[in-house]
Amino acid sequence: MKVLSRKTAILALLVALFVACPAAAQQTNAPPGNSAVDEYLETVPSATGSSRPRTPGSGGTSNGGLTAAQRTQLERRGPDGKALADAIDATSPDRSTGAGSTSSTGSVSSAEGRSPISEVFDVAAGRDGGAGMGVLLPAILLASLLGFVALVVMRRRSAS
Amino acid sequence: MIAPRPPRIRIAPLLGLALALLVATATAMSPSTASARSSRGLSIGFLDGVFTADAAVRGPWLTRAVDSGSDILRIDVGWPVANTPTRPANFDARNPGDPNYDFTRADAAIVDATSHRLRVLASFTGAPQWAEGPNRPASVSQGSWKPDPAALRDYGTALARRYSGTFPDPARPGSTLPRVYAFQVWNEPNLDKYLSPQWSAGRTYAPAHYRKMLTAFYLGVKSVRRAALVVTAGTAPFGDPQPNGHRIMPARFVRELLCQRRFRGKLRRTRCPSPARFDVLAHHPYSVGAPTREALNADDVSIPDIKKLTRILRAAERSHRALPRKRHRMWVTEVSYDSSPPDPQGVPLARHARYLEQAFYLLWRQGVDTITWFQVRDQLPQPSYAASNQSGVYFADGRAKPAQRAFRFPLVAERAGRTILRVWGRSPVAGRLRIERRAGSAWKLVRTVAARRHGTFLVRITARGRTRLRARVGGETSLTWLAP
Repeated sequence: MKVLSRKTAILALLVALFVACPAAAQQTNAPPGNSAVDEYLETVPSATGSSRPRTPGSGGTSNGGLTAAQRTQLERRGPDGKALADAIDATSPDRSTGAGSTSSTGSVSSAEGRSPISEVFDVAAGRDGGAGMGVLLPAILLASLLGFVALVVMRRRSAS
Repeated sequence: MIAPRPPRIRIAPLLGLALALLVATATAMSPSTASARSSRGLSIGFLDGVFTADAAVRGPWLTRAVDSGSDILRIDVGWPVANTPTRPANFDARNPGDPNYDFTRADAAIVDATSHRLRVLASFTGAPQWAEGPNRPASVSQGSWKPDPAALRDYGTALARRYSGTFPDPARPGSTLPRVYAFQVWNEPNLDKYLSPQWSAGRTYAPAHYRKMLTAFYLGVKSVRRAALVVTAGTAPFGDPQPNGHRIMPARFVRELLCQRRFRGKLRRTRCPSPARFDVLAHHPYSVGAPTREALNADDVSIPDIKKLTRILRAAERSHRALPRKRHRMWVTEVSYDSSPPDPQGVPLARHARYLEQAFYLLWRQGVDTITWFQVRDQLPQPSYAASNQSGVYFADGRAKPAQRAFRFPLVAERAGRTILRVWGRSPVAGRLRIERRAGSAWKLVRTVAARRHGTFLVRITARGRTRLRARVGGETSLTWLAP
């Protein structure tokens, strides 16, 4: 059996710990003060989530447990490194499902999934529930713009 | 001959200046007291078994609910009919005066609540044996097995008739029973404790069956009173990730209830000969951490995840999988945290109050317009603290927790920019509401808002760094909120 270099071994250990931690953690979370009320327990997703593990070496790194850079670094270590990278990708949660994602800030600013333009417009119009002139501001802006365009057109016509 | 050109007036810069002035004026006007009022209100109240207790016990708690700023109560009226294996002989299930019904307890609770000027959401769960499907396994909870939609339709008719505002009150001859604002059919139908089976032959069963129950109940209620609201059963926040479990994840449950499926991250409609009919979609977003903590699983729904359900709901409205064709409201008919004291595993009292305020704000911000907190007073620790709820805004002995003040006058600030804070609250009374910030040992006025009673407000203020804020109106002061 080929012996892994020390650097590869340390890297492998760290990655293994990273992958193993969630699996070793408590399987459910309870709301504070209700640990015996089992209908409100949250199941902690397993390493494979609720989806089937992907076939090792099936390519694609964006959805696996490793970034492209991490995979490249491991693959440079030879066949062992490649095998390790494949094993990690095959057993890690699929990031594309959104499972396990948490917000660092807990912000709900995009709660309704609106586009940034809609957000800006809503803020200007005061539709976020607070300050603003309502529809008056956009109406004034639009009227001003139309007036400006009309004046420019009139000026050009009179000049010609 | 070429006529001399008139002196050229440069219009563009002038117009630009005018435009800038308009924008500046608009910005200056925007913090006006009138516009700081939010157009979206928030009804709040409680769900608590004490509201159907004996009158002597119930009375003081109704008063405390009102004192806390409630305007709605969720009252469990049950399905108060003979619980026999076969349907009672000569039972006219649509007639609320049929002797097989016993609404004595429900009547008293609803009369008492409305006399305190509280609106009532009447809810029930559990079917009498004769209204369950055949061959209920012994391991399955009584009342949960394949409830008969036709029986629910009849019961909906009976409830709507009894609480239409015109039905004679048997306990007070000459008076009528009050009108109930909304009816909620069932509780947490994504748990087999309340609706079973959840799965059948490896496929989900409960969502489609609940759709039949809901629509039948809706038609029963609306056949009597079109204005009464029909609310879906609040779904429990967490499900099992694997098939054939005891629980279905709520987003999946609602997706299937509303005839949709997820395909490559997008919602696709499915065949739906009889779409669900309701007015309000309800959920119970209990959380295992702070109100900002999202659920770990994609189809579980905690406080900040309500958007998962509203997204499904809006898609269903567009594809006519949620009837009638209108915008359906979103309610939270249960949410809470246990506090310590008294529950050793609960959250400390100050954090309990803060979580309550933050939960209200986050839910409101996601479009929820009604919240019933579970519950007004702590339960006794029977059989244990871990298996009972100490989530009241009052201790069991009637002493108010800090959460009571938070409930009555919630105030939350969150950072919207390096120098901007977004400040939200709900005023306990009408009046000129002052938002103040701590400056040294004094409180400095930052903003005033013309507040309605129980009206919400949302304003932006300029503040850099950690800021302590409070609001005052009509002699009342909110708790202090420390903004990051």
